[in-house]
Amino acid sequence: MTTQNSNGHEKTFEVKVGLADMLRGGVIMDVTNADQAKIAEDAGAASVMALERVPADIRKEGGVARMSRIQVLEEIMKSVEIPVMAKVRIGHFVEAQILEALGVDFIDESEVLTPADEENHIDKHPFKVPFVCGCRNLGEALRRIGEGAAMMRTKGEAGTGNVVEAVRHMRSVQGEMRRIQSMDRTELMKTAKDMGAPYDLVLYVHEHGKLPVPNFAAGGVATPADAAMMMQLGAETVFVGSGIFKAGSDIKVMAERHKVQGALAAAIVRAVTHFNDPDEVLAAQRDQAAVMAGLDVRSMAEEEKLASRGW
Amino acid sequence: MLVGVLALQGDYGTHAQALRDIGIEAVEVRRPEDAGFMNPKAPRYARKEGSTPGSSLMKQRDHKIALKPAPDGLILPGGESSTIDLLGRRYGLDFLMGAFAASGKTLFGTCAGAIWLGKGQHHKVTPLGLVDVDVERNAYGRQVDSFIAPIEINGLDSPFEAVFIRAPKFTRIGPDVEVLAEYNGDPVLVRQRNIWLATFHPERTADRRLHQLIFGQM
Repeated sequence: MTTQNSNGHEKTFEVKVGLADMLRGGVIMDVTNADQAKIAEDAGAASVMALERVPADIRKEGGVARMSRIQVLEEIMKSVEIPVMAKVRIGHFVEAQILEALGVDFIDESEVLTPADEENHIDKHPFKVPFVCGCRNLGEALRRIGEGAAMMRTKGEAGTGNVVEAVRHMRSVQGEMRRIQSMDRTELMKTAKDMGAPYDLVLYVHEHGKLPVPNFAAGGVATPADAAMMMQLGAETVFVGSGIFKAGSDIKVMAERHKVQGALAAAIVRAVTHFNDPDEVLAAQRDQAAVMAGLDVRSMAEEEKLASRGW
Repeated sequence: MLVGVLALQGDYGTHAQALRDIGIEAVEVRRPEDAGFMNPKAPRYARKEGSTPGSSLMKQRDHKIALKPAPDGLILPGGESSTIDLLGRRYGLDFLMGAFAASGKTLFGTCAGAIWLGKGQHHKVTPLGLVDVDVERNAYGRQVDSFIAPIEINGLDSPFEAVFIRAPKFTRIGPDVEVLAEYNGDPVLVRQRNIWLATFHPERTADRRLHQLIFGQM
């Protein structure tokens, strides 16, 4: 974790990556209110991501998706003891300043919200609060880390309940890291140029065979089996977005619905903790009483895909 | 020498690496059996729906769980203490901790691990009470209040860079507990016989002297 940043923020960066590492192996769940946050915490989530609408609803309802209302964030922060994350629009550094002032523990500069800047992402180094960003490939991951992100996640295709894009992005990052690791040192500068990635970070990957920050999976994880698969593919943990609280949404009685969602949340935690143990994943899969309906990513128009936001 | 690292959630990978760096073999512990301990009180599937005791699935499963060698020491890493408490009890690891503490083997809890092994009243965590200290969670504030500071540790001849991440505080120290390091007047490293607790993260820097101090002399 001794990656050198040209801006001289190494020490702050270590503290930021420190929290990211504390979340390893622990599931991070999207929640839209305090009730859901408590269900997530009781199920064993290591953190919650607070947002106004889960990606599946953002996708359905359209409009501009922004940072959550402050009152909602405050309620969620008061209701749980685990770290609370919140999303800002790509490039919207003032939303990020507000969330830092509010005291959220992690900021997700997220393609799920409507981008505020189509050219630039936030310069994340000056912030004390750590950032997580999405990526589809290694070059994108290293650009975000170069800007100061302390955690990466695959973009996947949020709100679809379809894990195919998360798998594609995770395989892409892992494959490119293996390729760089086996390269001759002489080839690294051209690789950095081709990938549009900072040279020092390409060098780090060459020497260590991994990113200088944890790499989590996100975007379409809906079942315990999906979560365990992402872990076996090399994710250090998973974000579950719409997967939990869109499941069982046809159940009218709130207490019943919460019970089903809590069981699914606990099942995903179980599958992540014991991702390499098929008997445990089997038991987790059995615990799952409902699953969200999925979308076929292939039938989606390119402009409907959230993953293509940001570069 | 073999040291187990509780691997339910959190910074277990970095602790395992720290152990390997000083020539100690590390094993990840996710269930009591991983540390050579058959848990008699909580057969894991006994009360789970769909796999009642005596069902073919359970028999098959019990037959499959292999007891691994018992490690000489155990680390409880930082992470989310409520998650570690919940999962730890779900898998019967609370019994393992009790047995380990009683056996006289070395236990080292950092941050969330210290919260779990200590005492105190928490909303979401029921500490195991194996060390006579009260611990307050997130005592320094939220993540923006996390920091790195040098501390003096009894037994080390020069300062140690301590990384505090959403760190807890020891608010009461029992009579049998020795304070080995302080920061701003607050104890941050304590020892009760075979159990060591730190509120900071010694695994976060390349300095392995604390792991060496605790496990190197076993």
